[in-house]
Amino acid sequence: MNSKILFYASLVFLAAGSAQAERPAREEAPPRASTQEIRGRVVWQGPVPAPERVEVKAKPGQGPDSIQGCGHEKESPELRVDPSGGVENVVVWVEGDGLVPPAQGTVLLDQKACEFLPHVLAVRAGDRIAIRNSDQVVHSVRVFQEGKPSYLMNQWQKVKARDLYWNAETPGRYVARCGVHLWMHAWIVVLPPAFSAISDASGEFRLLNSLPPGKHRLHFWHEKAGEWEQAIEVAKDVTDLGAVRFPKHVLQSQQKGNP
Amino acid sequence: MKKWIAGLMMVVSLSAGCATMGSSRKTFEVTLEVDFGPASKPAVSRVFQVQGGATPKTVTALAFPVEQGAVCCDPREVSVIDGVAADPATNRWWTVSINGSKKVSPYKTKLKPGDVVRWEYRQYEQ
Repeated sequence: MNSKILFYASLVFLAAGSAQAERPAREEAPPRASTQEIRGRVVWQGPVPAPERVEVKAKPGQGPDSIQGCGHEKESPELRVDPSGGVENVVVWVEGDGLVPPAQGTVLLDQKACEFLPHVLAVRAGDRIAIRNSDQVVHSVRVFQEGKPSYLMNQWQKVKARDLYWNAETPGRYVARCGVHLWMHAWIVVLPPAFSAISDASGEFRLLNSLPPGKHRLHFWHEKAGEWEQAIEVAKDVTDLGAVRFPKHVLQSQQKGNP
Repeated sequence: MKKWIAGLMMVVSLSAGCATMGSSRKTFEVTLEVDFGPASKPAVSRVFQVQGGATPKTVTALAFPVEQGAVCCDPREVSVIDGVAADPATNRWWTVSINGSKKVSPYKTKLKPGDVVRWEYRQYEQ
């Protein structure tokens, strides 16, 4: 009887030991509560550009069925500026050693009316993107790293098909495209551990964080502007940056009518 | 009788093989046109002597440095011509046609005498 008890006790002990041995590999420092806020508004300088329109037409070799439910014309998501000058879809982030913001896990990138929604995603390296087809047409999902012409993922997605998954493993910027609907694209910005936000339709952003008060560098990225930075002084509760100016070189190229 | 038939078939198949090899060695003229579009490089139109078996990709490589990559469907596709790369971010892509037809493969379609291979670098709306 005693030997049986000893045997089971040693099993339990061993199992507990191996569970503990596994734990450190998965464990991360617990995130501090994101109670602070950095807020601001990305603003266009000068006359607000009219939104560009994109004609919805079937790809050569594809029939009208391929654009069923896509609409006839779309507003380009590349540069959206509201009437008061707020710039949408600017990614804002703060990174630094020891920052462990909460992981997002799986983030949804939907395809609705032949548009990727949202147009810009900011995720953390290690997150997973679930790509959904909510349309009544077939899509062909491709993911490219910025500046590289070869795709990292290329999969057909039929109507009502299961979600596709893409693992955002390495920090960088990635473009998701549809091989059937040539206008469709979305940006996936994969960040190292960082607190991030994306400006809304009025250009406003609220970056929740648990940064230690003091000096930090705030990073911005927009698909037309590229990346820029701003030094900030983070206060204890709320840091209001007010208006953040959109970079000038984009304004100039827009005025010239360049792509 | 059977041996005689087998011998005859061997001779026929060998001569057919030689004929195929002979045709692939023949050279002929094709025209290569490259329109760099928004890449702002001057367009090119040149005539090349190619051997049987040449493809749009091989004739292009006679004129320019060419890189391959899985732009759409296969890693053997052309992704860069003369330093101008397909760019998924700006929606700029290389398209190829032969005699106006786009139903061709840049690395599979075999060229014929007099073919006009045309590459266009195009930017699509997005």
